[in-house]
Amino acid sequence: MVVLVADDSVAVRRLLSARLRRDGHEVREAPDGYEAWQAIEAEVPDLLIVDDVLPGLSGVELVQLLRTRPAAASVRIAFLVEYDAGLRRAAEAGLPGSAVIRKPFDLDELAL
Amino acid sequence: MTLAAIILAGLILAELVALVCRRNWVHWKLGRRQTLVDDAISALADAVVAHGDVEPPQGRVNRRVLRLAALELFPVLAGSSRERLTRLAESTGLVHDVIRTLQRSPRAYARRTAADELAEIRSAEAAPALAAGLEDVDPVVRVACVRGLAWLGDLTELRRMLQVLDGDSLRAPSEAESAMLALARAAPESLVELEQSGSSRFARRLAALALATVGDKRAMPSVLGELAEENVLLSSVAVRAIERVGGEDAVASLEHVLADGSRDVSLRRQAARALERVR
Amino acid sequence: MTELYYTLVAILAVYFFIYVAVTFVMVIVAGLVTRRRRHELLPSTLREIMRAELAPTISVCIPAYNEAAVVVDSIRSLLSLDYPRVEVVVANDGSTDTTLDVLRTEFGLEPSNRSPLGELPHQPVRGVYEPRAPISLVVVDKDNGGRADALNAAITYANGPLVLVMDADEVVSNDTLALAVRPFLADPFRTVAVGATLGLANGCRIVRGRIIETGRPRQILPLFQAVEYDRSFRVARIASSTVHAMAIVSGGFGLLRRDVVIEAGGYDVDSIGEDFDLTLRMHRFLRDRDVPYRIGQVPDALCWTLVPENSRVLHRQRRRWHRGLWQVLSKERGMLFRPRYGIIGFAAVPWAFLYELLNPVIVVVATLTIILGIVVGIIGWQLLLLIAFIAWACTVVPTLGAFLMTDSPGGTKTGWRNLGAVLAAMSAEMGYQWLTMAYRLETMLVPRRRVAWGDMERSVPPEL
Repeated sequence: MVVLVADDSVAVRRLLSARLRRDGHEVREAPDGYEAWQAIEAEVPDLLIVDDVLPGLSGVELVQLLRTRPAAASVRIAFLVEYDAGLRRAAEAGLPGSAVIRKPFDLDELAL
Repeated sequence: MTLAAIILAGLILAELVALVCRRNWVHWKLGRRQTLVDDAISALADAVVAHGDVEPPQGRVNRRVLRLAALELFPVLAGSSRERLTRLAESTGLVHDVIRTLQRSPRAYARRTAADELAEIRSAEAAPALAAGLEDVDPVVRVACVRGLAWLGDLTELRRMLQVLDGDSLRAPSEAESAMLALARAAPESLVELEQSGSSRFARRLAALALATVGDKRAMPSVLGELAEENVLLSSVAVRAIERVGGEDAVASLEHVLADGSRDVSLRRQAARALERVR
Repeated sequence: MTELYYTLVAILAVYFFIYVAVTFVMVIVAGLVTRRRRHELLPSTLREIMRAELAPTISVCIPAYNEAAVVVDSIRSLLSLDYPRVEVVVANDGSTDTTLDVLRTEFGLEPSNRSPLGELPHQPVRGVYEPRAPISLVVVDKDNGGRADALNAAITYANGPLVLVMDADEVVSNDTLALAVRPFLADPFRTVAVGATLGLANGCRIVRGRIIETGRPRQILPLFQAVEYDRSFRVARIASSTVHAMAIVSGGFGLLRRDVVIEAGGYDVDSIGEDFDLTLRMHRFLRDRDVPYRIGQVPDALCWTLVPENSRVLHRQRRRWHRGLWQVLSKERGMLFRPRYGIIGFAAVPWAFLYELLNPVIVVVATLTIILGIVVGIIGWQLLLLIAFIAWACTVVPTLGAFLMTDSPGGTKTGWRNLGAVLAAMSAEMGYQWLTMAYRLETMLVPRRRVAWGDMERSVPPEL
């Protein structure tokens, strides 16, 4: 599985990358919304893990942009949310089947 | 006048020199050092995931880099993976380093940060140092140590911790708030005592709000007192606190506010919404 | 004759000496305070504030006049900040463009039954709307009345105990609100108003209401203003807030306690310098009632604003600022040297009067005096050079001091890379200062014309 991790925190990206690579997936990283979008256009990932508070395009906006692309329709989404405000925003983005990962997270508990 | 000109010229020169040094340091901090930190983050992340180890770093710079890296990772992790990171912090000597800073540094700023870092790392090794830090000359360090112990769940020095919170909350308000929140969960009776017999209004209020946040009904009398305040900042926070506590008293007090025509309109609106959620 | 001349020189010397001495002290105080504040904020603390269950709601009040291009992005960006409770109240000030339509479409606005909180003067409200979805936004549509008027309307429809006054084209960073609210958390009993540091948005990459990358402005005029703003926000205001002499909380970013604002009468709709006016009035209101209070400045909370890039807009802005200054000072002249107004009456207001309002006049007088002195032979070239050097140094010292206090001069992380350019700008800044001084002088000498609001809306000189 190809996974794109979009978060401005290096720590978050590296933790998720390490965990995903151990599980045998291929991981791309993006520090902001624009690079994430460029990465998606270059190669559509199977799973997008995105921080809802992202510089540039926010997680929610990125997802909405994704929706406008039929090629990207099959991408599964997981929002990284730290504060309650983020939960609300993720809920508003209202995508069926999208997951929410609460920060701080326990790497061992992540069922990806 | 010539004297003034000379002094000013000297000042400008001094400032320029300081500026150049500062610039170089910021460049280092945001440039090369950040790259080192990113690499250290990768190493730690891999170790956490693989249940592996990390080489203890050599040299002051590398130890500092590891410290910065670890402290970016801690807030992101929870549960067993976080505990592994704590073990790594212990095995690489990082905890030891931070403890040394807390105990030895002459700069209050460094000790405050060290106490905060120990609170974040949550290693049991730090408990003695944190307990000793309760007697630090700097009030912010003391409160940060209270927070550290509270987050560790180490309550052997509870009495002293409460004393510090009572006396020093004003100097470190946000730190005191989070320390009290942890205590409200771990040892609510102590907080009730603080709330009733604390020596400063600020500390008593914080204690009451901490108790209310975890839903402890014993905070109600104080919170109701806050509700009666003219200051809309105080009364507005009180409405939210009442909502967290819930129960019959909460409903009654909120209804009272709603019905009271002399209160601020937005407060009453807030009370109405709180009632919807509480009932 | 010569006696008269020397007396004049003596008076001028005292005037400038006080200015230099106070500036010097301000730089030192600001430096110490900034260090101390930075050393007081621990990393976990900010996260805890952002996570606080009982954080007070901040109602961001935005006056919007023909802001169709930016208002939606601004709102979305504000609502996605990491602060637990944010509400946005936009007052559409009778825009003639598509502002209201854009808002309606973007957010699915429906008529709201929210009633106004109190009585503040403003033009009639045509309608109040809220989105169908659970978004914390209120749009107040009203007849045009100007910025102060629109702010009053927005404040009366705000829910939170704290209101944040800012403009639609400004940008804050993710932690700005959490940082700015700290004085209210540290002293909820007395804090009534808090200002932040304004930086320049010119030269920053801003997309959809968010700063992607900070940078220094490319043109020379904004560069001078960057230096000016740094001096004001990082030195003058911090120093004055330490001694509780902060005379103005900028309308570009003012976090205020709503009940005090309403009780003090809100903004004066006829005022051109409405933020200065409100701040002074709050001082007067609270001191008249012997209510202990605090007005402060948070140096590390950043807000970015666009400044004029050409001299035409700058001219208009500075004329308006000076008019506003004059208007407010004459209105509040009753505060001068009254013991009950403490340091505000004895220091802040007189300072504004002498060193902001009258400064252009006095500088002109001083220049003429010097020229006279040269012509008559009393002043030689060496003395002239000395004076010129001291004058130049007096602006450079606080500016460099301001730079030293921050990781990001001009509010930009890359400010350091462009240090050379900024230093060069500083050297040439005298020219810029003469320019702005000419604008201000013109305001005082040329009879009033109607002053339009135009694009840039910051209402009072940053030097205060």
